[in-house]
Amino acid sequence: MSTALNALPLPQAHPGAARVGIGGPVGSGKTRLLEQLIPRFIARGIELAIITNDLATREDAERVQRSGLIDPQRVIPVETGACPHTAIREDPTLNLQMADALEARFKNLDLILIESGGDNLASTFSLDLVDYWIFVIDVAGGDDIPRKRGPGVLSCDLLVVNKYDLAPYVGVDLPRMRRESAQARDGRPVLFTNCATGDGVDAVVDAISRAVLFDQP
Amino acid sequence: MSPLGSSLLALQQADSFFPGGAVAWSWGLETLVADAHLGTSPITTIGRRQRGLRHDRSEEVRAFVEGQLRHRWNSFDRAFLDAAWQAADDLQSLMLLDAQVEALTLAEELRQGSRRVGQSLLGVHVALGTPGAAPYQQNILAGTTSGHLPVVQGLIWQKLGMHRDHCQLAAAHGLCTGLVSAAVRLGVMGHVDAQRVLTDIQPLLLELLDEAPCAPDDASGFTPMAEIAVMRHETQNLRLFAN
Repeated sequence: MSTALNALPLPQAHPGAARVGIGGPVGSGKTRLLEQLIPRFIARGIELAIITNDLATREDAERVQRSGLIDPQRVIPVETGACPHTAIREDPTLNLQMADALEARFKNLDLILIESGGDNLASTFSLDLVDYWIFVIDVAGGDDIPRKRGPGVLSCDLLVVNKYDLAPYVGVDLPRMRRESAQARDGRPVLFTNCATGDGVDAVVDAISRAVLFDQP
Repeated sequence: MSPLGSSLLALQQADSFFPGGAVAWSWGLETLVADAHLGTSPITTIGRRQRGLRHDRSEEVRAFVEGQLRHRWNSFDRAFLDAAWQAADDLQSLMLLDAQVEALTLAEELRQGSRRVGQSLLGVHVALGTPGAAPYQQNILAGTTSGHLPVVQGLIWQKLGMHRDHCQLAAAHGLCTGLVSAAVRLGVMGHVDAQRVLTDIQPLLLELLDEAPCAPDDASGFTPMAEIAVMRHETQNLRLFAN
């Protein structure tokens, strides 16, 4: 009897939501990337929630809430006290609290995307807050950004270079930027996207899924 | 001043919110991290909800903080802090102590760091109107003294009325907090491990403070790995910190 019971597979507890950070300079396209990621994850059956760290307003949160892409109650803003660095690194406790609250409210969440408040190249996520994090820069911000090798570019799990379609209009040598991005990353992943059209975003979804949602069917 | 009043001042002065300029200094930690002397972070990511299971480098950070606390601060800076506290009304003695710190600090980057942080702290106290701050700053501006951190701390904190042991406590705690904070910003550890290191270091800190500080003539510092790292810092490609 006991042998038979022992032979039964143990019920698998829900592992909890993977927490993925999206950081990067102001205007690089973090919110636009979010808007492109949301329908793709939902289409894959991923239970999703969003935290936005708005710098001074609730604009990013309200933009996502009003987008019609996701239940507005699954989108929560966090104020950063004018310190976007601090809220995702030195003192990420408010973001942790919000993530815990989302998981308590929406059972079986698979993924929480945490968008940072928009910062500079020194911005990094605490690994106590996220399992995986993406740093978003954009071509229009200058092709020298990968060369500057800021901590965000170097230490993120995935570097996304957005707005690559703008390269000819802002005088950026795209092949050179691709080459220098790869050099700065030293083998770690870099993806180029155009979040206005969604071009390249499927690869971002695949990268996140491989890294932290591998237990999904 | 009452013990409670002195404690309150120590809390304020040792608070990382106090604008003393210490935030920009890693004292060699940045180079050691870049050279992987504090271990390396994993390249591959791990499964969800396993935060905190990554390679924990708090032991390496704790060892660095202990080295700085025991072999640089306690045996060197502390001697000059305490001597400056006792000589706070004697400008010539203060300047002599400053000259000794200058002469005995081998690495240029350590000398410069000690001077710049000391002068930053002094500048804030000049703005706050702390007694003794402005005259000492005049001497620095005139080039007659250097304004090294332990000398400025001893002078200013005595003038504020902080008790001798509270000054040492504030300086030691401020050093530990600054180093651990730098480690967090370098991505070496998270906020919980950082507090764990600060908690773990407290028995050592109290043990050191339990013994009297040495005299300036007996002061010594021996942190060769950190000093070499500090000296190599200026040639690093990526520099978030001033040393």
